[in-house]
Amino acid sequence: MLKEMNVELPVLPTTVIGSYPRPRWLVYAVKLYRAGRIGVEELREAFDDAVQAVVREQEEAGIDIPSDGEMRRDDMVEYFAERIRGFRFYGPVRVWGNNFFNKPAVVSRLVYEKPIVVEEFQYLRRVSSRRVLKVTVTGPYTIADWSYNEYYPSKEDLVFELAKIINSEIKRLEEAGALFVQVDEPALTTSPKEMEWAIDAVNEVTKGVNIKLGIHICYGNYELLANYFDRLRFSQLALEFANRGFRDIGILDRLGDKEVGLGVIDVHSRRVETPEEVAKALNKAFKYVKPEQIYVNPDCGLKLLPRKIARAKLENMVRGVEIVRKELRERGLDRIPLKR
Amino acid sequence: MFKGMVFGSMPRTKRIAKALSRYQLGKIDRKQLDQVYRRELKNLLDLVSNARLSRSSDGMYRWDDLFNPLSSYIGAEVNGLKRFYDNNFFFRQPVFSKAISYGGAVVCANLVDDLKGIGYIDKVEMVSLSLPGPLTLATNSLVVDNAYMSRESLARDYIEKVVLTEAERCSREGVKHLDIHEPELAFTIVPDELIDLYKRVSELFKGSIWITIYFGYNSENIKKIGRISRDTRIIPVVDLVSNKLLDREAIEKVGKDLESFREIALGIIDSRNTRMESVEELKRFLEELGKTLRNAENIYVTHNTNLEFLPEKIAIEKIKLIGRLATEI
Repeated sequence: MLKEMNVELPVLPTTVIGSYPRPRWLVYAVKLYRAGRIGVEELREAFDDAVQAVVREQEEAGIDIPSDGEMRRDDMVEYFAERIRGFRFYGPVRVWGNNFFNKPAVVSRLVYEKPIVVEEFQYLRRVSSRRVLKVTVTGPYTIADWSYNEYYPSKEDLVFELAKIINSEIKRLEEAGALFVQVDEPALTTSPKEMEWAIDAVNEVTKGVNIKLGIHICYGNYELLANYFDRLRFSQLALEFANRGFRDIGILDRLGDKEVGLGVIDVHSRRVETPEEVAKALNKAFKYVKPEQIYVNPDCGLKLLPRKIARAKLENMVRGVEIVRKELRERGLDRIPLKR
Repeated sequence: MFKGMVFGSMPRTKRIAKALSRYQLGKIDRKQLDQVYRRELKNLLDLVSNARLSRSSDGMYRWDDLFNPLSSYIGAEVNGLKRFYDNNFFFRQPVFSKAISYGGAVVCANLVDDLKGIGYIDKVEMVSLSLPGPLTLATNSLVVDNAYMSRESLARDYIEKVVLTEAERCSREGVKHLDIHEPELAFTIVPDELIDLYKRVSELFKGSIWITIYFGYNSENIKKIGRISRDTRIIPVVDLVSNKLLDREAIEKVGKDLESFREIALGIIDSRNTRMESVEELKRFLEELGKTLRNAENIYVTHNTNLEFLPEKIAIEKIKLIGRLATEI
């Protein structure tokens, strides 16, 4: 059973998955920094300013639970690997087309030396007007799956070690006052034969944590995932549905009392969804889950979209939610408690 | 006799990535981009020669993934991104809304032009042409509008219209090695009809056809290929890393599967991990396995899948390692 926290949100809280397009001037500042033409302090100032800009943009769009847009992160795995001792980088590898990432290699025992994203959260809290904020951390399975393992005897050993580290990080976030942490695990369903222990490993990150924890899994095998819904110790599953034309939405009837972060915006298309389309998607989801169980978000991070389009998509997402909220209010459903 | 070889795609170098971006932005023209591709091909062939390997692919530098740009040449549309098996690597999915049509052997023509362009046409016999395997292409494609009634019918049409066309051109141009990438054969039992089609390609092609299977090891398919290898120049490339078949226990099993082959390529260098293998351990393994492969005239030492899954500098080290292994045994 989920437990209520002492915080209320409007019904169908709107949120983001995490990343948001970097302002063009920030991209330029990062280039200057890499070329040695500005220093680390100037870069930090640019990051801070960018966070202020994109948080404000989310809030103006009407988002109830913003993130810092992951402005400081080039890549979700690289960023964590750079801050955990035991990783090494040999150079970029291609992911698709002409897109590369710095795939890390585990070369010695992994050590959690200091908090990774706690300062990000603290800055976000300073600049946002919202009470509930979303902090994203990359999950242990995805970090391991997108790394080379030169040190641990098996992938399973590596994932469990990373789970301890991510668990420590979430505890630091809780101490710092975070209310909602989302663990990003896009790779979780990649290898069906590893799912049994992978679920146990991602559950390790929740141990001893008393704040709201969500897990985000996208572009994966949801039929397979649904077999494990009851074993996942997260109060919310943020899933991508718009990209797959809301196929597989029927899996939500196996969600039990957990919440869904319903992906209603396709982040790989530049077409801006209409509010009516968003409202229709929500009504579709109501066939399987109660409105109180639904948070509303894009399918995935928005970082690859042009900034204008990302903003327009969020605005229409909120407008679509408003259409449905109006109907729910007439039925007496206005606010919901934050649950963990 | 042990020899070393490399196949498939090499890491896309920073030089190519940069040139491609500049080409897409209209800052350089096609000719300038081709020059960059050719420079990298020359570097690869020099590296392979220096490592004393007996054959190489062209690095597949012109390919975005195993299916592209070929799929657009053969009349397929290109759909969204799909994960390439269990890798953090994605390909654009080919979509067939009509039957394949192929104007000419573009892949072979590019290879020969590139070799001529760098003055290495004398190396044409050591450079393989790479193509997606029929079953792998058919499994990873989307068929709409009833363009094909089954996966097998798409695979058959692809062999008849594309593979045979390329094989025929390769024979004319003096290309001696054709790499058919069939990772799907690690998971799916190859239909008999497809085996017959491989045979047809080998009847037409005046060289060796390498059925390259990776991401797993499939005993049954190896045996099926073994049955036709006696009368053809069809050679399997097997991945012994993904299923952890590099210990003493595996030798008996693998040895039995491979005993009928006169030529065989053993993928024993891990292309999906940066850890460098121990030469001594692998030498011991190869010596033991070699004893069970009594019919083999040539045993090729190679990597288990495309080297492109590694950072460039590690891929280069692994190529040198293959050379050391092949020459020191």
